[in-house]
Amino acid sequence: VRVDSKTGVTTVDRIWIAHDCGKALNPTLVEGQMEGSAYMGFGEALFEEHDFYASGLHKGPSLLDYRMPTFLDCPDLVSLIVEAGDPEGPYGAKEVGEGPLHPSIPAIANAIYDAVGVRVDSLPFSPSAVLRLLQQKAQQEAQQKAEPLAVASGGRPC
Amino acid sequence: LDEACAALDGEEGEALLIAGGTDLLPNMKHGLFTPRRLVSLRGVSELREIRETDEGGLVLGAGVTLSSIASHPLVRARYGAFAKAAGVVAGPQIRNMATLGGNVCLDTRCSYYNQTEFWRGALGYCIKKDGTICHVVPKGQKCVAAASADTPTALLVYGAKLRLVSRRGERWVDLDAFFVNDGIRNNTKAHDEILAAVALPPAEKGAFAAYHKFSLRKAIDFPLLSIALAVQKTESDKVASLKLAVGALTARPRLMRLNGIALGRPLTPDFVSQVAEEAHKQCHPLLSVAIDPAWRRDVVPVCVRRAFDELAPATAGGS
Repeated sequence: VRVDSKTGVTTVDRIWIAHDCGKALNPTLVEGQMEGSAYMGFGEALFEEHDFYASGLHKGPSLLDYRMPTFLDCPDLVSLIVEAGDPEGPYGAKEVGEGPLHPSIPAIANAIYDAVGVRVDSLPFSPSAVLRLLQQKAQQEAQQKAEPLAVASGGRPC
Repeated sequence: LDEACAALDGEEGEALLIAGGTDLLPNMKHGLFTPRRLVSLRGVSELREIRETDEGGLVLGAGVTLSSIASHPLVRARYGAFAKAAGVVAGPQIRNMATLGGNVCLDTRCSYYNQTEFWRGALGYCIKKDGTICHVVPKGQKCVAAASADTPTALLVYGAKLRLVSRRGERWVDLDAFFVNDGIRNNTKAHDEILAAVALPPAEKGAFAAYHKFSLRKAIDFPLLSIALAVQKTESDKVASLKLAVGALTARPRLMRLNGIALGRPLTPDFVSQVAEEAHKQCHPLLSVAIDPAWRRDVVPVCVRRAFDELAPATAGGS
């Protein structure tokens, strides 16, 4: 990912997806399912938001306000099929559907941490949320710089 | 055009104009407009002309599509920020249908207004349509729906003029004077008038401009903030004049007051910072867009700086 430290906007450039689907009966379809799932998780991570007004009305009741990523927002998706045949499954197959959906969310969160050192822990990882965390981090760092002794004595162990 | 003017005459707002329909039709589906009659401008060929004036300016018919503006060699060469603004509206299919006139006259938008009749009704409607209260500013008596079109912000810094035609005659009006700061209706076009053309003054030597759209998605998304910038430089590379317009925050796109910025200096980082801070002071996003207003205010100076980074010279090419 790339994180714009001035605006908090996160751009996901590429997602590598490895998925054990058992025997891949139709590898092209399997890749399609994997890409679709990762895209879905990516959309949930960065864009889609179920938020409500105090009145109880949804804040994004249309496909314009409930933002799903467009073609231009979507990262490159690279699928790596892991075939470990399942003797219990039909023709050795397991599943391919939502498997890669859930892991793409924490993977993106970890990538954001790797890029700028802030832990996002609620969805979506919106630019405003990321920018607030970056501002807090900068503030803490400035405080630690100003009071190095306090950190040395009262800092958290490790 | 005469025929279209005649069709509007005496209708007292019961007839509405339709060109691309990309704003009007969704709004009609939401019950925001309920005209008895639509007057289509698609057959009016003079609205689709782009011509150079003798002085070297450009006059664009209001029916020119946004995609033709974005790809027009002369517009791109001389009015690059305007071409850019036209090219970042919605998505390609919409730009193929949507017209310049429709974009300039785009209805103001608000998260409490651009919703289905059902959704709006659940809240008892709002001050802009069918109701008496504002959900954005409780107790507010003034509608704060925001001007969300891309091209007017860019056209403002070029000093564009509009030609309005009706059966009563025609008039030219400065784009800046065309808009008013009222979310319910943000322009001064009378119901029987048709926006026929947009005129741009000649691009001078040493003119630079930029348009910076800030939105969450890279397509099919209205701007959360839009910045247009025009800088006129002297031969010794000093700033002779400066215009900065901001869109998507208030009912009208507006030119920032930059009286406090001393001109006649080179375009240094210090100069850019002063302008960015001045814009930050003058911009106050509201919840008319359901996205954190404090954050949107934080990005104002960032976007102004980026617009300066994106400044590109007007060139004579294209014809």
